[in-house]
Amino acid sequence: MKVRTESGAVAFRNRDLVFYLTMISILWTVLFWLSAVLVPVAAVITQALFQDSQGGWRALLDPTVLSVVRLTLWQVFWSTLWSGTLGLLLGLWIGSFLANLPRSRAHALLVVPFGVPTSVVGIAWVTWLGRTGVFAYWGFHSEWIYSLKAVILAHVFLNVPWVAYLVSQARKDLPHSLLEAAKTLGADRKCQFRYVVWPHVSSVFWGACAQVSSLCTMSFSLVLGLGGGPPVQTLETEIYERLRYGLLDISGALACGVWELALTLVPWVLVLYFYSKHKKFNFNQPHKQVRRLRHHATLWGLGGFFVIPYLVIFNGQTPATLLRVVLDPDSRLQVLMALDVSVRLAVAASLGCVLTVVAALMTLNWLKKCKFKSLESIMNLLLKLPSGVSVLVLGLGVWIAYSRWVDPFEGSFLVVLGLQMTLFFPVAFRLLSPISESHSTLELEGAVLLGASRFQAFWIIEWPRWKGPLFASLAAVAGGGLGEVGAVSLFYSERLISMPLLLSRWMGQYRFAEAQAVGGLLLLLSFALMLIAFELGELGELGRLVPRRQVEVTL
Amino acid sequence: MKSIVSVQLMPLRVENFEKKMGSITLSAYFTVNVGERAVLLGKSGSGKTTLLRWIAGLDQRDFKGKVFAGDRDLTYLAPEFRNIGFVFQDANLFTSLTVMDNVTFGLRMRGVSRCVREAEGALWLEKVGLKGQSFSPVTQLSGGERQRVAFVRALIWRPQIVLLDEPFSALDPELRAALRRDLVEIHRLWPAPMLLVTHDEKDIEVLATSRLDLQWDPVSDQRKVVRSRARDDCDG
Amino acid sequence: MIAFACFQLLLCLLRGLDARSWVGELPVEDELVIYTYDQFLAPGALGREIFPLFEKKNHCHIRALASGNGGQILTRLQLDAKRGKSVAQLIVGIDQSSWEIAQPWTESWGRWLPLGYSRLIKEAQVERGFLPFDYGPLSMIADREVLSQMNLKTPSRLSDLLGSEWNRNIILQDPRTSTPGLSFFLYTYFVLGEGTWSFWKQFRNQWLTMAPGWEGAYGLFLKKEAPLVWSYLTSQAYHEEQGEQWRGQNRYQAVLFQEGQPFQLEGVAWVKGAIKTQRHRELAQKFLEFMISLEVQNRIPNKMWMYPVRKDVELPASFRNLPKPAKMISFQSGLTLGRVKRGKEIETALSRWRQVIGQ
Repeated sequence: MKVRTESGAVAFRNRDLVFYLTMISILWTVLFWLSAVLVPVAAVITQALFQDSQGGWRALLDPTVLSVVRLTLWQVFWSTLWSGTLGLLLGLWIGSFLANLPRSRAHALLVVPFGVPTSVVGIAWVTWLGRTGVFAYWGFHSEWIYSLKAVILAHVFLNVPWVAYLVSQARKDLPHSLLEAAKTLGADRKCQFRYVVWPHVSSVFWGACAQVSSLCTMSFSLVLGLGGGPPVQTLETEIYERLRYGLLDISGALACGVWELALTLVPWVLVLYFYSKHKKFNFNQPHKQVRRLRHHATLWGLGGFFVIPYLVIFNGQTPATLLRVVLDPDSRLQVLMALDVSVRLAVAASLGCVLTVVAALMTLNWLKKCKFKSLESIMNLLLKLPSGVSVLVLGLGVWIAYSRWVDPFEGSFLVVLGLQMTLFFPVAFRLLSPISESHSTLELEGAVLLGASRFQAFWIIEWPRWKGPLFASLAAVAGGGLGEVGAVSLFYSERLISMPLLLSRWMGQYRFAEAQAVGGLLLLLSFALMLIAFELGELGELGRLVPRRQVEVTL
Repeated sequence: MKSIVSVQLMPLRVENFEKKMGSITLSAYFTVNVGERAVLLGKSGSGKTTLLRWIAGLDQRDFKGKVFAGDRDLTYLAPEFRNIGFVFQDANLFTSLTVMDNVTFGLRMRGVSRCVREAEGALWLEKVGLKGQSFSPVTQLSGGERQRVAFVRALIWRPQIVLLDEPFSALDPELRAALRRDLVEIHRLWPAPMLLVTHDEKDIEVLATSRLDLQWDPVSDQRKVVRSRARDDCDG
Repeated sequence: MIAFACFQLLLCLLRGLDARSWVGELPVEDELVIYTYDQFLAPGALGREIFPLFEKKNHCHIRALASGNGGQILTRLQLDAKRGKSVAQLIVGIDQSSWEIAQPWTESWGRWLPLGYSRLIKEAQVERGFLPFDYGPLSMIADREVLSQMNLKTPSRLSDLLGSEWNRNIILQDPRTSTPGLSFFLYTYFVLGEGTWSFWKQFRNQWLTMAPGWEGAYGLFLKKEAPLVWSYLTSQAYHEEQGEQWRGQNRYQAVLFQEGQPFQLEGVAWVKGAIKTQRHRELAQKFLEFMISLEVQNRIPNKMWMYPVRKDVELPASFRNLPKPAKMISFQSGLTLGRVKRGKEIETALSRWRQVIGQ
């Protein structure tokens, strides 16, 4: 009798705990979304359209702003077109033989460029394409550097492997037997692609394109570093200049912000809407895994092609320069301080981001349990919204909405942290939501019936499924946070200078060798973190518009 | 039934087939006639699927032998040019297409216009009791229905030969019985030489007009596909 | 162990959230808060050397806040005014054009004049509200080595820059974000008048890059990305002191134009409404006097690589060897409008410039 009472009490306490945790999660999710997304975005829109004294919505049609919008669109169009086309072709090709390979580390090389800090990308391309760069040294003189072409080239090079990775993952999942069925019915290669392959990869492909176009719209330091200044101005650089330089022009920045919101959100909303009507199916069929040296070599070669250009940042003098930096007390102090800020930011952003995602997933599960279906799908959509909002626009929103408490020039760790958490929220959300949606109630109940406590049941059944993606999200967010420039550029101060900022500052002080050495350090750190993320998680999920487990067909 | 794709039916002939499978060699030499339903019985892993996939042209590596439809040598043709209907173990339906689009896929590949192929599709679907679901997504079908769609999809475009790879293995016993009857019905609509591989004796009882067996030949260390006549009546 | 690690981590994170990152500290009696640009406070720069001297002399504390470059100081000033919260009492390192724009947020000294004001060169005695502490003519700087590699001759007037040989061979600064950049633009505006716009229309293809700041632009120049950069005449002196030679001559040479050279005055100004107590006013006045005292002025050539504004400072040899501009162009005399209107005129001209080069 006594035992029963005790276990009853434990069960009650457990239920209580779950209830309180759920309530805290709901509260946190709602608060986070309101304060970090809705309030800043709403501040930008309302201020720009209704409350601004200097012309309101008329500022949107200012010829200068419109010419910047045109150039941004032009840049995004070409970057996305090339990245999408090349990425699709490459992804289909890789995916067609990927099914034969066991999980290959070479595949990670396609993921790694996505985490390369943009400041390093800038330095690398200047080193390749510059007048005194590597190509010129080899006798190939191009006039691409400091022009729109250089920006597009850098974008394409950065995004092709990512699109290829996502498409190849989707193509890999396509059962070979479907292609065989099509063949036996008389479909040639073209028809096989049209009726079997394309419907299978298209959702991922369009998702990837939306992602690429948003990223290219939001690209900031690459345009600043490689574009050569005016007339190559995009909305991002325009916002930055109007906020942080010279003539403080908030109404102009707001107009650019509204345009940018439109440009980054529209592709997302369109793609999400289109695919919410058109559900895709995934197949979990075991593949024959044959080690083929040729395929491995191809994959290594391809991956290497997209990674090696960034390694140009290392040269024979790098170790000596690093030593010089370490030995010089002033440089050492600067590097240590920047490293301290960057690491603190990366750790805090990754922890905060993952915890917020877990809270958001608990909220979604609760909505599902309570059968608030429409609320659940609205929430799902809203939580994905930050992927379509640029960090500079969010920053501008924070600047305006919280101006009473936040001084951008005083620097604010908390604001930078909040911005980075919002920026990387969709990444962690995409990695973790499939795990949450496929939660194993039956197995959990089975374990509880066999006498396991809730905690034991969680630890034995749920945790093994969660830990990989969880650590992958932590690594991916930390990797992204290390190289992030936008949020830091808006809210930095003397005490709050991160590694990428130190890098650009040293570039400005002609300390090129030192800047390159620090860039190399940053590059290695983000490479390592992206590799960890790849090893632990299914990064292909990042390209999916409909989570893998939402609809599943057992064959 | 009015023919949409003009194909003359010819017997299936496999000559001097040989394939090394580990230490042993699988060999075959047999013919399946028009209107005949030959069933090849063997345990799993014995090489029956391998043989079927070779006939269909899906697997071409390290094989010897020739495959003919009548006098037409199919051995070196790509699968899409062999005119062989194939039913897979799992239905392998195209999930992005509706039931009707799946069923008429073969006709579409042969350039048959939409209205003609949909009329034909409706006719065949009616036969298998799926007319009401013509335009629903295939994912809404039950296991049995999916397999029926797969049968129709493999036969509707009048292939010269039909191959079935354990088509009932994923279904429960009652459903199997019903589907076997359906298969006989559908085969009557287009009596191409049919070769079915299975490990279920029941399939032979209900379906087979002739039987192929895998026999062990200790002298040559070969497993041979041997024809043993079961029943003489032929449909069609 | 894990708990300890978590605690450490938490502590580490909280360090980033200290109160100072939320709100600026309020000024105290003996503290002078100064906005300046990053380079002024860089290791080995003038700021680090002279601020302690001033602190010692006047028994006070200087809190210098680096705010990016000259343009960013201006933004910070405007932002403070918008929020109704003045943090700094002084701004150090804005040039005369930025000051024109910053007029609404700066304060005049009234009748008071700093000690030693009469010893300043005439051009530096601008208006009561802006005290220059150094100046330097701006000019193109050429890299002789790259010029000879490319078989180019130095230009001698503005219109020479439009020649096809200079296509993508000049490095400039963005006039909206950099003070030398703004000076170059105003120089063309002053010299060419209405011809400015047709000049810039043709000039669009001539620059390799228009960097956001002088440092970035000059860095690229030193990397031999282009043979010509817009900089200060005194850059030549800097390289001479560094002993950078090419075939027995100075490798980096200032290029003077027949139209004359604009010059930049770098100075100190008071922030409007920020000097509230008598002690602050006293310190602010002392600071202005300190900036034009010989103690600081003697350090200007070798620390700032600019000319000191005081006439009685002995210049190093490298400065004495510098070529003399045909004419020193002052925008103040060119723009004849009232003070506040001049700032507005610059803004209007800049927005027209943006349209011209964006077309």
